[in-house]
Amino acid sequence: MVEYIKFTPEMSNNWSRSWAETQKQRPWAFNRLLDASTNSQLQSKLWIVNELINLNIKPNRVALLGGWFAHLITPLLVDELNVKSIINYEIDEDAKMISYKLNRRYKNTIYKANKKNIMINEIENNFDLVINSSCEHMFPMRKFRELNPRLKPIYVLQSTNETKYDDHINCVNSPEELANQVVLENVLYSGSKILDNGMTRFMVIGK
Amino acid sequence: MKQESLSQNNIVCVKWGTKYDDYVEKLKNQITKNCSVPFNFYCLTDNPKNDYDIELPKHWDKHFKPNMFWAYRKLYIFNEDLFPQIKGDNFLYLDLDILIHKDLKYFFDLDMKKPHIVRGWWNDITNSKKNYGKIKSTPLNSSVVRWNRGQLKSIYSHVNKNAEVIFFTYKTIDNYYNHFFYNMWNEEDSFFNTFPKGDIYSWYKGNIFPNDMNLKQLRPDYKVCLFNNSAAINDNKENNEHMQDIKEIDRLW
Repeated sequence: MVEYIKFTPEMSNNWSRSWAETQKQRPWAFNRLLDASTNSQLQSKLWIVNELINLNIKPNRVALLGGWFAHLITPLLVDELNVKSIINYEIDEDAKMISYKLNRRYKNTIYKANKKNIMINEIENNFDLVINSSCEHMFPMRKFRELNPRLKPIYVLQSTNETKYDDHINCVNSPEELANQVVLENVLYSGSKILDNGMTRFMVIGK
Repeated sequence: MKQESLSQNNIVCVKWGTKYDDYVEKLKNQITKNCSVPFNFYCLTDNPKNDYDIELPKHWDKHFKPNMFWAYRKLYIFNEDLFPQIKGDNFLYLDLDILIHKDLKYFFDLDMKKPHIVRGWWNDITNSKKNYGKIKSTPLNSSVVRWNRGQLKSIYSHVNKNAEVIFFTYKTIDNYYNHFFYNMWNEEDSFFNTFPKGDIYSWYKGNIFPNDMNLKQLRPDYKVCLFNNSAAINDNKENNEHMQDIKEIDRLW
């Protein structure tokens, strides 16, 4: 079971520089970087990696949909699953740029970020795993499948029933409801977890 | 409106429901007093009664959910082909709840390489950037829009093609514009140009952040005052305040 991120000297260098540069160059984004670095955020990403390991899923090419800063999931995918390529599709320019700094050691080799609204525009590349750990922030995932009929990946989706936030525009009440939103034909994993922040999160993995 | 009297300049407003019934004539009177170039006046409405009224299309109604993308009817006019009775090529859209201080000729004399929209200079742009991913705190305001025929058809087409997602995702059309037709990180690179500081201010939100943010203050040297009040609407306060309820506004309106 994976219980932590491998905090290597390279990662330490990337992260400390990123935090300093964000504070200086994009101070409005600094609190969001804190929000993306909580123990609950890490718990939810460890959950993804551990269930993929349990299912013996070994992806090469991974798409992150709305992956935000992607600084927790990226090293977990690389170190624990030996993923070769990760593209983070984000709408937010700050998230894109800061995610490059946080993952600088992987830039132009493993990690790329692409500013794109994936509920409006199709994606060009092929992937064998698509991770959306923030489904509550966007239109139901069936739209992504409609826009990208040629893709046949395994999907990893997370969402919540927590409706108190304005930007949670698509909450669900169960992992089954989440699976129905992407019309999964073969559900490989379905579960719920209460994170340290008290939020209930649901996760499904399937095709 | 008779064909032979038509000008190149169109001033358009949109009204639906009954809350703003009295505002259309008030707006038309203000425009008549404050526009020194010929113009055609039109009101797109769900209840046409007057010779300047044009019936609003309804084909996006099926996508509407309460409290989401609520002013979508303002976007129909960007497809001028839907309104063959409108002949001129220059368009100025005005919200009903505005106060006009100066000659609207200014808007028809603008350089129109790009369409223009209100950049709410009262917004703290760092707050807008911080909240971009949360789909709020847009720096744009669509109470005044200036375009030439065809320049905004891509917006109409974008909404038409992606209506299901857009109506689900965006609370306001201004947040939608900010995500697809504006670039806060490189404002000059944007699809829209914006009216400069000194043109348009807000009664409820102020003028220019951070140094001129007095609320409920008239600035008669400006062209237009807006009565946008999203904070009050969100807090369910004052959102029923009409312009005629504000003493210093009513005497000018």
